[in-house]
Amino acid sequence: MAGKGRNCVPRALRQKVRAGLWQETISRFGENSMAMVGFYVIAAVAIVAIFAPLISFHDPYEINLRQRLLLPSGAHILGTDAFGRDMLSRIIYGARISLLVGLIPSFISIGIGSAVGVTSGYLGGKIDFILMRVADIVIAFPSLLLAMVIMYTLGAGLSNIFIALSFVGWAEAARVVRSQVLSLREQGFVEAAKAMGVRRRAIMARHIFPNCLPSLVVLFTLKVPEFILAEASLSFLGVGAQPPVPSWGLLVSQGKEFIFSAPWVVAFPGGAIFLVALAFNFVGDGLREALDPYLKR
Amino acid sequence: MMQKLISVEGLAVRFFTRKGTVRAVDGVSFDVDDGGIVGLVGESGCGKSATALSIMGLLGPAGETTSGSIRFKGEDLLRLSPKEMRQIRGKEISMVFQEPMNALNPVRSVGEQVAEPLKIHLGLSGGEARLRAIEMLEEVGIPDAASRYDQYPHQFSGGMGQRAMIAMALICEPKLLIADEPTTALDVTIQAQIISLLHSLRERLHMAVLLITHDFGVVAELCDVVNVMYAGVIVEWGNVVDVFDDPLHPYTRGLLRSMPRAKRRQRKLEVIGGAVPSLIELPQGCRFHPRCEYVTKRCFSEEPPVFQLNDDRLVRCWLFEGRMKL
Repeated sequence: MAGKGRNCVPRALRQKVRAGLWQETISRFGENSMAMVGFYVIAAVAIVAIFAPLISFHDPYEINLRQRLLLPSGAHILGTDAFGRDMLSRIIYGARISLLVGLIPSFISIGIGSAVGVTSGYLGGKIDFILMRVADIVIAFPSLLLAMVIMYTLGAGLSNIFIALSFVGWAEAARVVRSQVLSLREQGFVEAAKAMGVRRRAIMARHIFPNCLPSLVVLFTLKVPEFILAEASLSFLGVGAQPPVPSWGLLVSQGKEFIFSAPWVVAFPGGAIFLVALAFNFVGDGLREALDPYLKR
Repeated sequence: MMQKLISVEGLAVRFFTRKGTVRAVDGVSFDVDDGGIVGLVGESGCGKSATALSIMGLLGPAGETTSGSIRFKGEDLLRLSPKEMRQIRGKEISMVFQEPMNALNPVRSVGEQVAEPLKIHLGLSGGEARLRAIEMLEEVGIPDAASRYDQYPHQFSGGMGQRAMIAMALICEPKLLIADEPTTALDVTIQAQIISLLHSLRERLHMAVLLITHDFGVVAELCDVVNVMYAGVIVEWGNVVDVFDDPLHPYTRGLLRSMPRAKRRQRKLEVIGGAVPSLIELPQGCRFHPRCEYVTKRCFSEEPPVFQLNDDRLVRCWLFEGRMKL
């Protein structure tokens, strides 16, 4: 064999050597059993949400006044609510809303927050001052109150929840990113990039931002349950999703009158919120541990 | 006579700090010939790196080049707009830093970083840049470059990282390479490899090198000409051989004496007493007088000018008064 070039390196060795940062992180994550439990719960909820029409036996909107507040039974595994609607189907459809409400505002708020944080931290000066004071104002407001004010102004409804939560959430992401950028911009590789003639915008986007990703991944997994809970609270307070949409928060809200007479109407949707939020927190903690070598740096 | 590639004249760099103005570089002049290797030697904090950063236009918000000129191919770099300067950096003038592991971005693959200047300056597509970068990685002595391309900096050793940095700096075939302590962070055996690599690359690419170091050994290996810097000024200039054989300035003598030598049996390493003066409050007269063993009364009050001994020997010390003054 002409022992030159890559062909002389055994294939297995090559693949092992090539394992990048994310592969290492994933394998470390896999060893964390709590995090994996969280991951499986989220995966299961996601599958249920995607295939909701195939899984649920009943129409979540079908009212049957003769079957009000039934106990869990073979026909209605989780019982029925005050209008005789099947609780299981409503919770399954509610998973769609909760996941969307967790994921979409997290994406938007972290996207905006990253852009603001990188700009602010890298450019410094007046721009930094102004952007950070705006962020301070947003953070200083009680976030649920701020979200409620936005919901009142824009009107209830799912898309407005996305807007309200994104608006409330970006400032924290901006702070996290900015603090990282402040130390990153002093790193040798930023100076090296400048010495190579890289443009300022490209340094921010290609050299600095990727270094913030590990902490943003963690922040993302912690933002999702926060937003799921915030949506539940908003819907519970009546400014979020509107009936008859089966949002989990709304299910709890509508069931609260029957908390003593038919506790399952509150307990199951409440339990679903709890379970999903907990699962995301487990995953977030697991990711933080798995990414630790990069976060510490 | 060779042509001057870059000519630094009366360069002064100030850093504005809370404690006061730091006069990091205070009237430095030197040339680098086309294809030549010039050393800039001195202790930490003598203004070597500030000189380099000033040439690159990378002093940052706290630093400012307050006077002087840096003529590169006839153009004064200090008068260029940031955009024009950006087009020179990485293409015409490149820089290699001390800590390769710090100068490589940990979350981007090494190859991607090596290829980046090609995309920026020559507008090469991803595929072309990749091929060229792999060639360059091979040229700097990285084995199995094609698969190393996709690896991350933490999978590289310090020496390999510095090779990659050199590949990145030289990929657009610049006319001038500024190497700021390129071997300081490396093992001695690796140092020798990097030095010989720089040597051979310089010949092949016909580029000039400005080598910044505190290590006279590295200077002796690589350079044609050496500038000895102390507290923001150049105190001695000459051919490497001349300066080594017959150091003139007391500071240069001290530096050379304080190098450990295998031949001579020494109990103790010789040192230059005292420390580099604060660049905020420089001593009156000659900057070196508080540490100088030949100090005279005059050194306390008057700053020595540059005396020229012959065509290629300059020294900034009163001991050489009476010889030709520049």
